[in-house]
Amino acid sequence: MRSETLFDEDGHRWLAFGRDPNKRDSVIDTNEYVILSDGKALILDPGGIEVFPEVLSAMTRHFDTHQIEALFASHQDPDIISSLPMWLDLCPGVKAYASWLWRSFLAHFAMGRDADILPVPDEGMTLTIGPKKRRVELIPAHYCHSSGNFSVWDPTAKILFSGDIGAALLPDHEYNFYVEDFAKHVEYMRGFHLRWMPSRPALQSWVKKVRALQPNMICPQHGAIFRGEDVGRFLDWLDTLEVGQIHW
Amino acid sequence: MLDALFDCNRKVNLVFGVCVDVQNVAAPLAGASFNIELLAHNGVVRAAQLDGIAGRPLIALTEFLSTLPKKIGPAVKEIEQLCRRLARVTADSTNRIRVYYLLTRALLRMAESGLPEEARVRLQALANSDFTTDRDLERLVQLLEEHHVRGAAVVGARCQATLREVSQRIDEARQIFADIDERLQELKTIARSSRYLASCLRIEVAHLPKESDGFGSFTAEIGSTLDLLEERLAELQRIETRGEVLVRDLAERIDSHA
Repeated sequence: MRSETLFDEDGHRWLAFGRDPNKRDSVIDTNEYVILSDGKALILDPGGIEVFPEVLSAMTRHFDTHQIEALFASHQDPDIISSLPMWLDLCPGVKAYASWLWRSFLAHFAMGRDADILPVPDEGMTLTIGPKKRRVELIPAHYCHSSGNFSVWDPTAKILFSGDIGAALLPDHEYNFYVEDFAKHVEYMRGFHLRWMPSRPALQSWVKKVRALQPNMICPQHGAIFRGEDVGRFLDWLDTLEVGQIHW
Repeated sequence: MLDALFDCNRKVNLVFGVCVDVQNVAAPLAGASFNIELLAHNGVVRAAQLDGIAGRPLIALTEFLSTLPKKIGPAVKEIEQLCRRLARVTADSTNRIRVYYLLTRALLRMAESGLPEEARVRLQALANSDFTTDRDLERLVQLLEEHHVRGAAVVGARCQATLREVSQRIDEARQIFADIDERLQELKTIARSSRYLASCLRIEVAHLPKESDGFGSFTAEIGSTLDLLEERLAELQRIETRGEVLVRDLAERIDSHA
């Protein structure tokens, strides 16, 4: 599994993990992100149980497991958080955050362990990481695609973790962490968004909120990261996308 | 390398299947015991209708026979409770084996990416290990620690603790099977005593005058109900032995210093 440092300033780092060459074809490729702030880690969408060994092995190249302070799940899907029992097993005392809506559903992943998930209210909340208590905001993204869904905004790094928003199903040869050719990348995103995003008003509301934040990067859970001018291109594209329609 | 763990998990799942089979076969035993009790009560009533002293031994035998099935119900209930416990233990074992498998896979990934070239030979030497024992695990963790692979100590310790948990659950499953077997032997003793009483009844009935012929069909009915009970107990014994063998095999393979 490859890793990439997205931001590194004043003891505050963003790490991205993904593009595992050993991953089985039947398992969808995912990106896992870590905010490492003054030696404490917040893992964003820790991933499915199937990729846990690779994710753990890749992460321990950068930090120790005792540095993990919290886990965050943007929503309830298995590729997002079915590894939860493994992390809870390995890092007792770690906090796990997810929408209140999915709290009791996620307990089904617990494999016989207590999974005390801390509920994130619909309006979102602020988390702090590390001894300097750096703030990150959990921003509502409901119905984009899950009904209980959050993005993570880090004002220090000006990076937004968007979960499945901006996700792309990349072919094997596209293994860059960043979007290289936006026009081409749209083709990898379109199908995903048309099918998995149920509400245009919800997406438009999210776009409006995110524009106001002026992020330097938008990091989705699948596919490539938007940075620089591609951030604006992506938000423009999303704003006009007619989602939530299916013809059969 | 980790195929043995899959095989262990498959066997645990088979043990779960044994739980279901034991419960399915044990449940109708209560019905069979009720039938024997009913027949025996019927026998008491009919024996009481016989003239003179001829009916007395029959009353005594049928009364005694009617008390035996009462012991079957509680034993069957205990077997059902043991099966429920066994189902929980096997479900938990499957979970723990899965956790152990994923942690071991993480350790192997750490080895592949974190060990220097010169240590690869020792990693290759571990290729024949199946990681069902503490020894295999210790060799891998030691190798990783020697080369200061970050996280190896923590993940290795968790892995060893999980293997111990698996081992403890398998020991618990073995004890449950021993308890089921004990209840099964009790049931067999009840069936044997009932069979003995039924044969005594048959002998007594043979000495009855011709006009009491109805007792012949009565003893035949008791005989066939006991046949059914013994068949089911034999089936239960076969299933229980299958489970015991599976768990013994698992205990031999999964070896921790618990």
